[in-house]
Amino acid sequence: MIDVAGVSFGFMLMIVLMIIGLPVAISLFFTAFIGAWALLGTPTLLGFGNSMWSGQNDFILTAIPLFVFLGEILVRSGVANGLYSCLSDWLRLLPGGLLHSNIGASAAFAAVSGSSVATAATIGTVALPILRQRKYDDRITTGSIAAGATLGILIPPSINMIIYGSMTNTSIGQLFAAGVVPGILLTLVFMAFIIGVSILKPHLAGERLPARPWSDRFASLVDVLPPLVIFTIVMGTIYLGWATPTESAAIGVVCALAVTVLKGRFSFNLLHEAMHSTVRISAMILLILVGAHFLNFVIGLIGVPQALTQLVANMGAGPTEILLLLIVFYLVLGCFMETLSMMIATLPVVFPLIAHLGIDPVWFGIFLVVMMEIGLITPPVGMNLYVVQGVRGSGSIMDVISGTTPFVLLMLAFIGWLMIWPNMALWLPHQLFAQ
Amino acid sequence: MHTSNPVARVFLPVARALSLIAGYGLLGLALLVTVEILSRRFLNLSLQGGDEFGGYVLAILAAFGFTYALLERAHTRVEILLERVSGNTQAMLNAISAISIAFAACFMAWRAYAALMESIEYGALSGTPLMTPLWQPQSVWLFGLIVFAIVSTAIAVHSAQLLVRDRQSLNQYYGVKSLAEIIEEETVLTDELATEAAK
Repeated sequence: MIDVAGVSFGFMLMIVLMIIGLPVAISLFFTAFIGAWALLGTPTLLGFGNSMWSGQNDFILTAIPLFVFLGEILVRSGVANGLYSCLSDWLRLLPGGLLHSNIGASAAFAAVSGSSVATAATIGTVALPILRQRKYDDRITTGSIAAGATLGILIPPSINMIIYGSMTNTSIGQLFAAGVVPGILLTLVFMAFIIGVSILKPHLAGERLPARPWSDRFASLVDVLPPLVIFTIVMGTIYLGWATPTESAAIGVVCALAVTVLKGRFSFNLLHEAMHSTVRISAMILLILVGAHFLNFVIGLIGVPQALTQLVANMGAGPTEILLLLIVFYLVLGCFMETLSMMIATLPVVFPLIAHLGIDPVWFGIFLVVMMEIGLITPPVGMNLYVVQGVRGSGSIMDVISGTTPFVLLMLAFIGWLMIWPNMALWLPHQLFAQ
Repeated sequence: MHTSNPVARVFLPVARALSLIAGYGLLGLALLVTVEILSRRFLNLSLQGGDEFGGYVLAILAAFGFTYALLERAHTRVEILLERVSGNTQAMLNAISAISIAFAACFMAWRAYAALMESIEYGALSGTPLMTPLWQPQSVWLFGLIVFAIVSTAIAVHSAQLLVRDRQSLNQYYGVKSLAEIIEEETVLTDELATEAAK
């Protein structure tokens, strides 16, 4: 029904609307609106109300505000305090010392809070003064925080994976499981890089801190318990088949509240602030999803997936070529779009191609999330870069960019590794869901 | 809430109240679902309705939250051009953005109203054991969308006025957030963390 030229026009229109500063959600909405009006006529437009209701009255997506709420409560209960000091107690003896605490604390905090920008801001504010005082090189310090903060969207529970799963009908439980091994491996790759650099160029890592006595180290482990227990309960109930991801998020919220009460931190003020944040963040995501849902619907009706798969078939491109093309595509797009919007806006077009090529949807979800992580720290719009620089408050943004560049290269190499060894992502879900 | 923006001064309290209602709905849902799972698991008692209620909570939270996110300037925008053009151009783009949001919001409310009328006309029920008449959750949902339409229209009109009279305020009220604002908003419990980490 629509040819490739029409598809390209639609895509350009969407990009132009975004560039002139319309909210991403509204850009998606208008692209769909214009497409439907021009090609399908008013009845499709008038059916928007019912389609919006069925898109929003969706128990799977209810996991989004629940996980956001869980994170907001937990972060406000002060778990981050314990996390950072515990990790610094345990990791300070490795070459590179506190840099490892940056990576570890950022990864854990981001997994809990679900926001990599919040992580970069929070861990940055705590860690920068300490590392500066110990004469660590600013570039590697800021690089480790900006890169570490991206790990959270790969480590479950991840909002990005819930959205991906719901948009593509992929099992969210399997996606969560698929993120575990790559999440741990990428963390280890970052740490190995820091160890390597610190051995080769010891002046970059600052003074070593004295080791803490073992009794203190074990005592500090208590602080890691709340997030760890909640993580185990949330993931455990999914894998035991006791709960769906949405239900496990609900249990997580109740556990997070229990932690707040046990730590003596509960107050209605805290609860209300967590609610406001949750509603603000979720509504932002959900409005983008309203636009994407509408666009997805229109794109399906006018035959965009068919036009593109036809094009790919004519080009004779195989899965590897298309994936390489997508890496370039997402690197470029990631240079000016916020990553979550980037994923939501492109999935309706990209996913049918992936399915057509026979690429595993769970594996592709992990691939996409790693590409999004890269987008978070590539200039000119990599938000983490600016936030860390803003917290740092002096010097040039170029220091942060050059400190982050090695991590970007590591992540690109990691994407290659993931392509050569797909079981890195798929092994765990196959073990857990082997029926 | 310290803002000199007259539109925000009027509507922000309303939006925050709606946001709290949605927040308590979410809390109620979390408790309900937890009880459901525990009783299913340990009492062999199958309660029903958590998933249905969860869907309504999501739709209503979205509708109620759109306004709050709008007033807090939380709806994601691509900043790459906005940051690089003159104040006047910026003001014009911000006004266009505000008007486009109002248009989309009014369209949503209008079509949601049609969907509600349809549910009433056909006596539509949820396809679940509870057989909830759909007009009930849909009315609350529509209410949220109408508020969103009203507030976004007020913002669009205000932006158009400011475009003529006071572009600087236009950019300040309805432009993208500055880095300092983002960092202030996103940093959680910093003082406490800092003292803890310095030990």
